[in-house]
Amino acid sequence: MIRFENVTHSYPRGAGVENVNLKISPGEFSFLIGPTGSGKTTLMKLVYCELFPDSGIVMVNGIKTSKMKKRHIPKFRRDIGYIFQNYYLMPDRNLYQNIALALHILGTDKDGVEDRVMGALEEVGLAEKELHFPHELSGGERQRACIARALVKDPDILLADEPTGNLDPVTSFELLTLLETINEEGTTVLMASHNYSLIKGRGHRIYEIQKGHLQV
Amino acid sequence: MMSKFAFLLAEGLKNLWRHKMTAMASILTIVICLLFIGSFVLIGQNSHHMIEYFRGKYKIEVFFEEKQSNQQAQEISNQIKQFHNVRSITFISREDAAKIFKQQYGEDVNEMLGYNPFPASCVVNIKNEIDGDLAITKLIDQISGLPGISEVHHQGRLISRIERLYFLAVEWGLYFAIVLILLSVVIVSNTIRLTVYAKKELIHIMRTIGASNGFIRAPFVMEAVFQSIIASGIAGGLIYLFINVGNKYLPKLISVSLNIDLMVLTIMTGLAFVIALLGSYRAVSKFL
Repeated sequence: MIRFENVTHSYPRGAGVENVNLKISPGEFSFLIGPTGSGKTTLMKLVYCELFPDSGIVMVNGIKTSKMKKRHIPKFRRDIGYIFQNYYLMPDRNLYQNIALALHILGTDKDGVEDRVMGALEEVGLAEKELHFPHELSGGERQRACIARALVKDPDILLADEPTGNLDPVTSFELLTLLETINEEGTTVLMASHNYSLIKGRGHRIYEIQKGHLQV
Repeated sequence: MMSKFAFLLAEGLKNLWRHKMTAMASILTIVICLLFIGSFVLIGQNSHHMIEYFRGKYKIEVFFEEKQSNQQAQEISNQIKQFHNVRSITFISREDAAKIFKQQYGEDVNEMLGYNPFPASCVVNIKNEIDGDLAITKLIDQISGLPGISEVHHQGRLISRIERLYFLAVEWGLYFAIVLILLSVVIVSNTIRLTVYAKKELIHIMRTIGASNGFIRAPFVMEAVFQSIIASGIAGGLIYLFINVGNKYLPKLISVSLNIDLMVLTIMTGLAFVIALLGSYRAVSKFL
């Protein structure tokens, strides 16, 4: 579960989020919509402890983030998957190695790594491309690879920050469908987007953020 | 735990190949620094051979007063032998001096003049082991101050100058080495920091996935350690080669041979290891 209570975070040069209240239940699919610079990424970063609130409370999976010790953050993040607009795949490693990295961090043994990586690749439809390098994949495939990297850890929460930002409408639709499938399996999904036409009418809660202020 | 360690070890090795250009830059930097330090140590360790060679050639000729009998002169010679830095004494009696004159000029001085005009003398050989300043002037003063000494022939000024230059070089060389080591740490640290900077995106990805700082740092540190091992191997090999080449040609010019203590090479490897370890640790920490 993700819960924000009167959360404010501001940057030294202004902007951020102000007095945000938000509640996302386990297994829920929510959209966060707003223009560029409205505070979507700040809100996401507050969830996975890249940032901390100046005031207010952020609760994630029952943990109050501001009370968490710094050394516990890596462990906390292992239950959260993160998908970036710019993919952030490692260019010098093939798809298998990119996805396996998440499991090596967890200390999974070799057989476990193989099973789970191949499982995640199958789930996103990239099992055939395990030995391909990121530059050999299309934008949509790269983003699916990022989803596989997030999924392989079996996270409770999946944060997707503008995952369709660099994709064409058809690929964006396919990716959204994939995220919905993942959500149906029980993962909480929070997806940020500025593309309203993509997300409207899908039956999920939409949070709108404007200049750091959140409206449901 | 073991699978994690094996992964990190393998990552460190693979990173060497993945980032071969930056790895080469780091290795080259460490090699150059070690070569500078190694060359200095080599010169420092072998320069005493040179000074020992020169000291072996130093001689002080002491002439006794004519009135001194051979026995009296011998007693004074024994006194000189007790002085600090004196290795041995070669005593030349009045009769020996006449014989030497005859050998050199073919004339018998006793027949020519009707008496032997040569005083007894001795040649003072100086210790050639280095255990500090030779203080040749002090030794000459000590000899000249003895009763019964007529003249002391020496190359004192030249010897003093060579000795002074040697100790000056040793002193300044030590400062130079300290500066060089500090510079090496800074240069290697900055080179590693540049290579880490090029991988800051990877660090960001790993942090987001949930990697601990230790997990992120480990492959970089291992990579740097592997680089230091390679670099010290190359530097050590080059110095060894230099010694061998030097020993092949140097004895033809001067009867001195080069050598380097194995301990010095070990210390150089250790130094490279520490430089790489500190440099990479510092560099990665900037991005954590």
